Amino acid sequence: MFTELVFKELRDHLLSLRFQVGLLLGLVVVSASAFVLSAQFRRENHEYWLRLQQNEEFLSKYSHLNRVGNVLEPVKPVSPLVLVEGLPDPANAAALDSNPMPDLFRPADFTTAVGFIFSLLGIVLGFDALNGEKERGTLSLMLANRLRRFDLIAAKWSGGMLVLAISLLAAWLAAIVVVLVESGAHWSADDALSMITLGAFSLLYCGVFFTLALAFSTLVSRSSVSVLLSLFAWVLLVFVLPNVSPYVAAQIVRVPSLAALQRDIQNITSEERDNLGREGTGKVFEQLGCVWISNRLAECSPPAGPGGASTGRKFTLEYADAGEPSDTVKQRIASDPEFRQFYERLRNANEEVWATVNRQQQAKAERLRAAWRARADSQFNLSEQLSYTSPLPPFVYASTDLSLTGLMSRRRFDQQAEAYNQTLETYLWARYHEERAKNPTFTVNDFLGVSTRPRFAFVPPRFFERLAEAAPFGAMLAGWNLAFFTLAILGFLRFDVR
Amino acid sequence: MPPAPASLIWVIARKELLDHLLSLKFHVCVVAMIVLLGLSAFVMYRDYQVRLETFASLRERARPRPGEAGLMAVVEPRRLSVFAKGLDEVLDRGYTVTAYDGIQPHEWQTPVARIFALFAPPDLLYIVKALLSLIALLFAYDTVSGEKERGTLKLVLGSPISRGQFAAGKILGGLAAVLLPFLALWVGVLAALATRPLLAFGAEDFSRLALMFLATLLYITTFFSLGTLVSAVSRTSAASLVTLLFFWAAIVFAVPSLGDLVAEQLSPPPSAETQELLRRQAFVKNRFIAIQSQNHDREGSFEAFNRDYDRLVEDYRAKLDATIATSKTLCRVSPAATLTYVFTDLAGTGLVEQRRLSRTLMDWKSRNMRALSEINMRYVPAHTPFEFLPMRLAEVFQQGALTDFVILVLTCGALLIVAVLAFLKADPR
Repeated sequence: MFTELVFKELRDHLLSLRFQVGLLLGLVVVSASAFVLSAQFRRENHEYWLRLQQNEEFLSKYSHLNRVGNVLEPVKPVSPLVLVEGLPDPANAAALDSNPMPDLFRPADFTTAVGFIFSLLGIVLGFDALNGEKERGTLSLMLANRLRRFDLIAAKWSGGMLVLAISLLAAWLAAIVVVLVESGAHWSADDALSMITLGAFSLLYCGVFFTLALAFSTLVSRSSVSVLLSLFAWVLLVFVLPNVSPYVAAQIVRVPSLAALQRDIQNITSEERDNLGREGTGKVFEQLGCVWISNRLAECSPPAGPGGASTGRKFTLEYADAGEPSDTVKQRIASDPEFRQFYERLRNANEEVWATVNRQQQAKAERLRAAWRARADSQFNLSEQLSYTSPLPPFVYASTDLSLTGLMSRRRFDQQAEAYNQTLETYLWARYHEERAKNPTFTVNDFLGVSTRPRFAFVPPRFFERLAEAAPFGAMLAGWNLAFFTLAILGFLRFDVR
Repeated sequence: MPPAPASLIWVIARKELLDHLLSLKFHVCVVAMIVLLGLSAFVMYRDYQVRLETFASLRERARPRPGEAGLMAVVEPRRLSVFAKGLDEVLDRGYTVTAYDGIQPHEWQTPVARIFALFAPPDLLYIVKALLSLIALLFAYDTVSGEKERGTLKLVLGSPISRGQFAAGKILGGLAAVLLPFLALWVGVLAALATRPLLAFGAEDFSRLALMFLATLLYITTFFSLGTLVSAVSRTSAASLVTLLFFWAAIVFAVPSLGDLVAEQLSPPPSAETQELLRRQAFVKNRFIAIQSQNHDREGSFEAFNRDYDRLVEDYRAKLDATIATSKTLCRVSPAATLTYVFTDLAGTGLVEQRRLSRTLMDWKSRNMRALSEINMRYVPAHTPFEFLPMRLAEVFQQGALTDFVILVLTCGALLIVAVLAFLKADPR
């Protein structure tokens, strides 16, 4: 009986207008976006390799140690998993002349299509699952045939999920075929497994909304009311909660702007430091019995220094521009050992003051920076946690992690880029010394061939690493499904079938 | 004496409005609007405060000091970005301009947690575009099909009321049910925000806000007309609702997003990464030639570098502008995209402002070439301070807002006419 019910549900949905309209729209959007994203990948990938080649030609003419680092920064290759657009690239975000259209309209990709269109399909498939049967008068007939309520609702759920699975599979297959044919991308086994997992996550995500609508159909006796409630819940979960969560978190955990922090740090490490340094060197001046006679002239009667008795001599200090000793003073330092000893004592004391002040101010700046960082991390974590009140963000985070377009991939690239930069620096200095050994007059501005340098090759995370990153989000989506299914069962157990 | 036709329309409209006012749907929608508009005003105002704080810190930093290389330009966040944030994250920044690095965003920008860039900011534009349009559809989907299902359509059309009068009354009443609460809330939100000291709206700001409301009116009427049209041709309300929901998803999300992607195929944009690499190569090459030739080769001069730099930027911008123009045209198929252009242009956070900023920075750099090539430990070289004032309203219209308004009017008008015609031809049985 259960299996028959499931197939009945499957058949009814497949033949319904709502499913056909939803599937058609979803297929069109997914296929169209896969096509254009594939073309975009082809273009960007071609540009990437062209850029590498052009850079080699450039380096063969103009490479020199002093500035070659400007053109040897590692670049992340274009992800072959073109179905998911993911996070905007930092280079584009930083450039004034990046294309602004994606900031106005989020590019259509597989995640967007599933996130909005297929989740809506879940709502329209489920909102009248039980109360619609009641309105048609068939519910009491079914239950009169010794069918348990739990079996009925489980069959409704299974049938609906099967329909969603079929529609997502059709869309997923269409997208995969388009991508593999059009983009020319080569997928590894890790990539293929990731895309299969993405399909599974899509079903979990859409299942949340179908189950939610199913629950509403058991809590409310009229389908005209359950559709409104389902839609409002969908709007809240898809369009409101994910979008407001970072802004709400910013009000709960207030973090001063980075510019304000940097301004404060600059004050601490320049103006405040200069003031403290001048105060300290002023005290040193006094302690060494010095008095300013004019802007540039001072007379000193130093007391006994460490390890020596006072000579009773007076020393005259004259300064030129920017606090440098005048030529007269420099000559006296060279010719008068006592003057030299005094000058070195003064200079060492001043340097000690500046070193202490610099250390102190750097430590203060570091504490400020660390405090800011802790608050910023706290705000980010809160934003993330608030975003979990909707199933959409976990689905989006999982899809970006699986497709190498998210934070995990960005972090991995940063780590590998840092390691590469260190290796490159070692290589460049080794080359420089090699050339210098042949030619002692070789400088950092002379041409330095770097064709034998190590090349940067980004090693993406393996499938299990991606899965480990995405798994908690999958668990969240499963949790949402379970919660709404439990609500549906409880609702149906109390449902008045008359 | 039979009542005047116009008064019949008002009677029907009043009845329609009252029916909506007493419905659960209306109460739920009004509560949703109150919550959403209130939340939007609150969070966007606070976000504006943070951006203003960043601007204040950058402006302090921008004061030139002796011995420092280069100059700094700072752009103030737009007041009306509270309603339509648009490209304000790109626009309200500090830019450093140096002799050999060209124009670069200053490193003191507030870091956006990039993961949240995947979700649109919850400003008024977003609420109108995505949510108010959905509410309009929910009020319109059973305009005709609901009457048919209840059996009242036959009764009404059997009376002396003409189909045209009935259609007009239904549409007016339904639109009033959506727009009147929104207008009241809009005025309330404006009143609350206008009293904030950081905003201090002027007469021109209020004019822009009035135009935004007018654009909203046209946009909502478009969706209401669409809802009425589909309701007139559908057999049941359920079918009408399902069809409209998918239409809505397509118009509001799919078409604008796909429009940009298709435009990139027709008019491929240049690569920002390649542009950045070419700029760095120009710098490295210039310095190499200058040092190797001991400043005898003109190709190693400061002027040669800036000539190459300017040429790179102009070539790049020309190609990017072509892509953006194509994208804008294609996306205008969707009223949601047209509304976005109108709102962001009026708020000063749109595509036109971004382009204008880029040009202004380049012009400013050219005018300050001498100051950029000098570093003096004693004084700050003479230079022209950076200024980027918002466009006047007339200029905003000239630059494209008028076109977008006309498109909204034509779309709204066309759909309204087709909806009325469909209503006139609907089978009441």
